Amino acid sequence: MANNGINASYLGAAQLVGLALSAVSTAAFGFMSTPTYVALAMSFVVFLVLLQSANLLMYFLRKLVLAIPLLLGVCTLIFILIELSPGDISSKFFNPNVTPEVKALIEAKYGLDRPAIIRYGIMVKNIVMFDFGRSMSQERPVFDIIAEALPNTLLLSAVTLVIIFPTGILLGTIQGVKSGKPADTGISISSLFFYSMPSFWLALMLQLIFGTYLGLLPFSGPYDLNAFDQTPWQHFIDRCIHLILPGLAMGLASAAGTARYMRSSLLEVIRQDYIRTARAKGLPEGVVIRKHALRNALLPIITLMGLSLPFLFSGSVLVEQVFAWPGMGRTILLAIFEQDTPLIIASFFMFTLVVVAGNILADLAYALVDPRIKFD
Amino acid sequence: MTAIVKRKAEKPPAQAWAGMVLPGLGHILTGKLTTGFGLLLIMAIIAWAAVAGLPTLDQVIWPWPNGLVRPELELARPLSWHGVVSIFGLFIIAAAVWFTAFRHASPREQTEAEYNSNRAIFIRKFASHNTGMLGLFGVLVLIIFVVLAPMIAPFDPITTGAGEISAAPGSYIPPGRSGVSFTEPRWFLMGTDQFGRDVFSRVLFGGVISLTIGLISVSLAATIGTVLGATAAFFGGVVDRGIMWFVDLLLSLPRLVLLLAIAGMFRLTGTAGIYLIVVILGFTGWMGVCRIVRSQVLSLKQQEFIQAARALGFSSPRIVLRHLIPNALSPVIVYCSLAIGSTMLVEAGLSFLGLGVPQPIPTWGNIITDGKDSIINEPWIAIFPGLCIVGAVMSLNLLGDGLRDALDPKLRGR
Repeated sequence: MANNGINASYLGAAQLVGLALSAVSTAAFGFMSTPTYVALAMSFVVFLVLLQSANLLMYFLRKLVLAIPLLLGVCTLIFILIELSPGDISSKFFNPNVTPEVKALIEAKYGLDRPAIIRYGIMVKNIVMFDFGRSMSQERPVFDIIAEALPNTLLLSAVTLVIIFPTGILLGTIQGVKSGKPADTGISISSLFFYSMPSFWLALMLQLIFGTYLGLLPFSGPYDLNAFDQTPWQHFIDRCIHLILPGLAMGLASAAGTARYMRSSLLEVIRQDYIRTARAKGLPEGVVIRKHALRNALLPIITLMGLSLPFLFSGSVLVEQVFAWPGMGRTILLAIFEQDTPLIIASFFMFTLVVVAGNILADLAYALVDPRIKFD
Repeated sequence: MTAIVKRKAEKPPAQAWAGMVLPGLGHILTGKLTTGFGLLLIMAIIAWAAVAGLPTLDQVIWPWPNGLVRPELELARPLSWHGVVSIFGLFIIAAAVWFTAFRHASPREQTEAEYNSNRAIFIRKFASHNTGMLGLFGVLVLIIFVVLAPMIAPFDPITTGAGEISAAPGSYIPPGRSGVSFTEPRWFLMGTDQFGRDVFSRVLFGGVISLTIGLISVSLAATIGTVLGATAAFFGGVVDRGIMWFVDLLLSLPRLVLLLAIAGMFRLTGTAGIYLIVVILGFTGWMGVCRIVRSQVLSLKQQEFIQAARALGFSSPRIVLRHLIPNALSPVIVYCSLAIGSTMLVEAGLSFLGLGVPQPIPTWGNIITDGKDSIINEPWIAIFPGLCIVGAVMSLNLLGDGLRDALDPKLRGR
């Protein structure tokens, strides 16, 4: 363990500076541009160097290496599925009466005339080069499509995270502290209610209540129809307002789950001896909960944060459909319905990438905040 | 400290034997009026369903693809296998009610060993678990509605024009109104959809499909997961690593995304679509069970009774099937009761995206899709199936929580 000497708040500050840098470069150069990548990567390296922990760096690198066969495996799985699927992919580009020559031309254009093993090789090469080829349905580079869609979903996921964790932690803490009392039961039942609810149905109900009956919030879409007439400030407000309903629809169920998790975690901690010691010392109950219990109970929640990223992404498939949100969820669905092979593979690759990143971040965060974990 | 409780041996009162004749009668005679009349009511519903429903069962619903008519007409067709399943389910429910009522009305002698047996402890703990019992009640209501759906549903869920288009919930439509072809007055509890189909009937049959898909696919998943998990843990080495790598691979994608990939590539219409979804859900849901069983078996493998079994020269399959798996099952049961709920949610999501059960066949997710486009003008189409999903999944979750608390040996002291 080499990170004992470092105060966690300095690390947090360094990381914040890094994130601010990348935010500024995002604003200046746009998302998915090289400067943004560089700033993000630099902020992470600064973070690791500040830790002065070779162990941690090795741990991180090993996780990264282990992720490669996983990514390849997922892509292979998807490729096999596409190959096995019935129907001729090229057949939607021409009517059945065209001559064989034209058909051959079209197939050659999309590389469909080659044997599967060659196409598999091309796919792997494309993924390694981070260039996913051209989309068949939209007739433009897949990379551009992803680059348009991914920021929207990331934004939505970020907002949802902001909704999930404070709400979940607050509710879970109340439940844990008042365990067995009416407040606990009430929150339990109501959070179970949201936990058992399909997100798309919640989205429809939110639309109905807040969009139609109350008329408070916009019904769907990422921004207003007259967005081009707005001043930058108005546009910012407009986008924020449009984020509320999708964020709630995606976040409420997960917040309920987090509350359940937080409650059991807090109850587990409260049973420990050091809490009894703290109480025996005569500390006020509030201090015992805040300083001793809550900090330890939050540890598993941090892991949950990284692990919830994939679920946010998959939840976005449903919610984006309801709110006409132009993100990855809609892209992937469109790709599947259009049988657009390059786009399908690229979107699934991006999904896996996000999942792997979430897992690694969760591991790292856990290893950082809990000194009992060793990076062996 | 738990005091040692010894249950007094009681002779069943003579009246309790009346429960043999009719469930509930014994309770009433011994003074337990509420339980008694409740049991009588349940038996009455079942009997009514059996008498009124069974003769018309197959015409009412079961030949799915042919369009569903509710004729008091042609009774000549033989029962389809769906009908046989339904009758069998009805029979089992009746038998279970009968048996429990009899057992319950006549307290038997219980030795201390019986009183302290795992089963007795489990039953006592579960019975005192309020939310768990609530969940059980919800699930029972759900099962009764699902089994009796063909008899309860007032109209055909698939053929259009049972009533006016987009009638509000509670609409009473007199005969002879323009645009309707029926001759008797009709009443629509949950309104009708854009095609004039009765939403209540669709929700009922949607429940049949959704719950069946949940049950069958979770059983499939549990079977696959148990077999693979036990195999991995028992044999270890390369087998273990191979299986667990595959589990990690499948778990690395969120389930919905994996399902999108498979369901998007293979789309079938009609009844085949239902089977496809069951299989897909089963093959993408076994990983959790696999991990649980593996960890259980790994710890059980070290215990003496397995060594004894080996020393006796039992074969590997026998040890796995007769000794390891039965002892590893209780967390699997808990997991499955929770998984049915989440599987129903996933199925609803898939059907909502148009990749699940194909259209004219109702499922709860499908009906919500119908209501999505007209959510402002006809919100009831989407509201009712959604409420049903919430109720069903919530009951299953409560039941699972109750089972977990009752089965968990760590909590036994409390």
